Amino acid sequence: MANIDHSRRAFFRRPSALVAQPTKDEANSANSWLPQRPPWALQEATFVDQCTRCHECISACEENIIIVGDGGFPEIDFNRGECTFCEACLDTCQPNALLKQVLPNQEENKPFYFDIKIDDSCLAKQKTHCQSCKDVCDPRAITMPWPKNVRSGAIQTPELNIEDCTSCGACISTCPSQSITISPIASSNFSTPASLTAGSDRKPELKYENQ
Amino acid sequence: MKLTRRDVIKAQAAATAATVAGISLPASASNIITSSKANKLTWSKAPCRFCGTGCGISVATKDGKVVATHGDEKAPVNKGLSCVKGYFLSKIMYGKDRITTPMLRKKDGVFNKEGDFTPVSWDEAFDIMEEKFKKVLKEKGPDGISMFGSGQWTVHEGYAAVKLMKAGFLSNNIDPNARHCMASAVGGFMRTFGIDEPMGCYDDMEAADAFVLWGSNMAEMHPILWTRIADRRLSNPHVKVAVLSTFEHRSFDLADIPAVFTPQTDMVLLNAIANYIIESGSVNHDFINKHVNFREGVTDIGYGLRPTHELQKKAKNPNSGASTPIDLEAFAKFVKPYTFEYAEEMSGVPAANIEKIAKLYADPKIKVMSLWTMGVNQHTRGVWTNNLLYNIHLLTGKIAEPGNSPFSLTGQPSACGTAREVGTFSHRLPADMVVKNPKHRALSEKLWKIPAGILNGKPGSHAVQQIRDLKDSKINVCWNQVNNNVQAGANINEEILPGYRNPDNFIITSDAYPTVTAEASDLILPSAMWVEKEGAFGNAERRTQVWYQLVNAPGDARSDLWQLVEFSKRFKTDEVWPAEILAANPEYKGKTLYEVLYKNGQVDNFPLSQISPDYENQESKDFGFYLQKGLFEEYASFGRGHGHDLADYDRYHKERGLRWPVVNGVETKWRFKEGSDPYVAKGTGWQFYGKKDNRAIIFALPYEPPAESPDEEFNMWLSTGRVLEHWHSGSMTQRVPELYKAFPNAVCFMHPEDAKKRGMRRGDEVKVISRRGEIRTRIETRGRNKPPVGLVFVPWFDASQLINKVTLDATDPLSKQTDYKKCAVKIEKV
Repeated sequence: MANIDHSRRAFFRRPSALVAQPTKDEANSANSWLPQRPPWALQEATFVDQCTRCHECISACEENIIIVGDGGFPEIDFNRGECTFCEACLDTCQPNALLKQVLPNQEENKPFYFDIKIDDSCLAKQKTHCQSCKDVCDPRAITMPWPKNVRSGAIQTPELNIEDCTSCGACISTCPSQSITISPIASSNFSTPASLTAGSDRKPELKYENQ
Repeated sequence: MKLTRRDVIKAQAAATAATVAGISLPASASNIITSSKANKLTWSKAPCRFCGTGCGISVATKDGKVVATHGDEKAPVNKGLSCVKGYFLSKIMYGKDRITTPMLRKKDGVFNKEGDFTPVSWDEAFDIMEEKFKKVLKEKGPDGISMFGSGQWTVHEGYAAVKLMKAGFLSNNIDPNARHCMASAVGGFMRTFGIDEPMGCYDDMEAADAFVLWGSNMAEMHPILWTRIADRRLSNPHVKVAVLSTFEHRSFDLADIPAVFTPQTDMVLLNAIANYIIESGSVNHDFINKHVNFREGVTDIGYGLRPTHELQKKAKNPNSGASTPIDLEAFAKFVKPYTFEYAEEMSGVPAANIEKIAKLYADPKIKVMSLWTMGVNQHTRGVWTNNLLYNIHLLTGKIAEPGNSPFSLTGQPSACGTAREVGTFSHRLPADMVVKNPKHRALSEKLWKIPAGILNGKPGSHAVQQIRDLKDSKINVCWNQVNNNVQAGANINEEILPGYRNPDNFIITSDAYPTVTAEASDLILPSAMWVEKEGAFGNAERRTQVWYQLVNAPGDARSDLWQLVEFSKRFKTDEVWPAEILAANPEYKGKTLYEVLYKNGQVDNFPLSQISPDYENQESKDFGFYLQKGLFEEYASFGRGHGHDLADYDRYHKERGLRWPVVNGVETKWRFKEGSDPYVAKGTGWQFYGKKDNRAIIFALPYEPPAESPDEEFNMWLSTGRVLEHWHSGSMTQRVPELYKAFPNAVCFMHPEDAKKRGMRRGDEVKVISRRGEIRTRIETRGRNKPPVGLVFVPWFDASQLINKVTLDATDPLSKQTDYKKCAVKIEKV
């Protein structure tokens, strides 16, 4: 199962997904493209090994945002709504393909490691008054500061503080122009816990990069 | 190929609109490096279909379809900007459930009130309408029929409707849903100035030093005007913005002085400011002495409820707008009790903040613009509150000059241009005239070329009264156009639905989409919308804007104008006019209403050859003359020379709108002020010529409590309103996928503490319950609106959550406008 070449499949099915840049860890594995797994997913290769495709997480998700993805594995579709981090999927996952663990720095692994971008099709950037993303942003990672140069019209444009973003995805489904993309850059457990891969000497390590 | 910035913006707009519309433009067209020529798009101008701001929009058509829209750079109102609704305007006409044929409730092949909607021809639709109209007219006379329209009628449509109802059927039972929106503003203007609509204009936004919002969330409801204010504020550090509201909303982002007040206490705050102006010696005595009279209004006027309602019975002077003359001294005495301390106690706004706002008005060096919308108008003392606002501008003489401007914003695209100016209210005639005044009737009869003495002098049933009359079987036929009253009217459960489904009644609704109103009707007529017809709108700053028909309407859909004029062919004067009038004027005998109202030698004056060869014009081609021009020119004859002058019709096709009065080809920016208004005599300074003595009136009016306040059981205030993405009842915007997903369903905005107290979390399903009805919705504790403890806000755009089942149908007794901003509710978990 671990030998599925997702990048190849993705090339034909969703070429745009190739834009996601893998971290070194992930790049070392067979997968250079990462699907949007449910929160706290194992490293991709291990995830597809461990996940039994029972779809319990799909039924557990109150927001109905987990769908059957490529190969029958669960994926999140943020176009359907946002993750509330209620942990229902985590709790229901029998094979522990979703896993919360304490990292060496004593912090828990984050549910998602990701990059988020607001591209230039954003209506506000095109002089159209719109603040939908800001309004749904719970952690207030998206702000709408007043422009410094107001000569061409004081329309507020979004500013994204990635440090505050939780990748809940609320802004994705609400954006009228589909201008926001979240791409996973690493699995939540981007290094697989030792208990699951006997003999592995790789230690979990945070390699979050702001792109 | 050289590309200008304009070409690039247009190509971008085309590409984005095409993508979202699911049309694939040629590969080169989705690239911004192309010219509009390569796309084969035809660009034309039109005002936006939505709010009263009146933004100019560039509209691209391709193969008979609107494919792109963007803010028109040449439009002085929005200078190329648009809001998210305007951006997606191209898609409002292409919802999947667009009605394209008349639909009649039928069982076994014939009309049946309990039957199912069945497609019928226009002939069959008009046959049943004719039968119902004639039956009711015969049995009950003109009082038995009614029409309910709106400020979304084009100028031509509103004018044709007024003519058909008032001059044709001799019934004054015609009202626009502006009654729910601008009636209090109109009342305020008429009472204080004797002439409707703002004296200033949007140019004030670049001249004012301070902006005070009284019950208006411009950031969401008038976003483009808000960018003009933000522009002014951000590029001039001395400029101050004060925002007053009963809850915190997006406009508070820019507020230097924020103030959240207890509902209804805006009246206390306004009187407190008047008191401060007097006590601090800031009255402009020179202005007052020359241009102002003082009057004290009658109080305890009730709440515009049914006469049998307890509250109405208790009122000493129900529905009275009477007043007696007083002087400045008496006025000063009247407002003396309204100290900052009292105002703080009543409103909850810290006295220090009230003082800051009062100083903006009092300081003669600060130019102040006051802006308000539904917070002031949808108010059981709406007319009074409008009067109180003018008081503080008149006391200081800060009026009708650049930057000094009390400005009443409007909600609908032609609330001013059509609903108000054309006279579609039950008591009005074109150009601010009223049916009660015999001189006004005589003038109208002359201009309309109908027999003298024929017009009905008794004001008809207004919006809320029409609904009560339908329920009580006093009115039996009602024709709705461009409105969604079952969603928009108040107290749906107890008043509106029983009236619509009353077996005695026949309800006709013209609409482009199956709104809840259409579905509650007996006959649905398919309407052409926006640029599917030639039309004209008038915005909040008196700007009249005209557009061409750019595309054809789908299927059998026809404009409301065509429907009105075509239907008039079904009636002969002998059937609807009194025999004695016809006996005295035999030349009218045997003629159809079409002949006496539209083919009357005035409206049919302009041949088809005067229509631009580049554009379609369905109605004119059908009737054989340039209908829109004829209607406009006849209508304009009411106002020319009377302070409401409009330019020649053809000129509006060339201009991005003109602000009336247009005298000698020049528009008027500031009325009543010497130098900027041609009607003001030299050497006078100001002339408020709506009043005979050229003086505006300052009214002494007290605070009176709302019709319903929270108590132990119904322990929360409910305020309703709009959101940026959806315009009014969402009948168009909810059908644009992007706007739908940006704000799919109404929610109940609530303070987190109120939610916690009730054991509720964000997202929980709850019931909002009042004494009249309930809805189910979900709790929202974050986002754009942050109500204080004790108040919830529910927007009303969502047809699946009809909040007006909950609201009270208390109205301002003077304007008859409903108060949707305050009633008592309780919130329960489902």
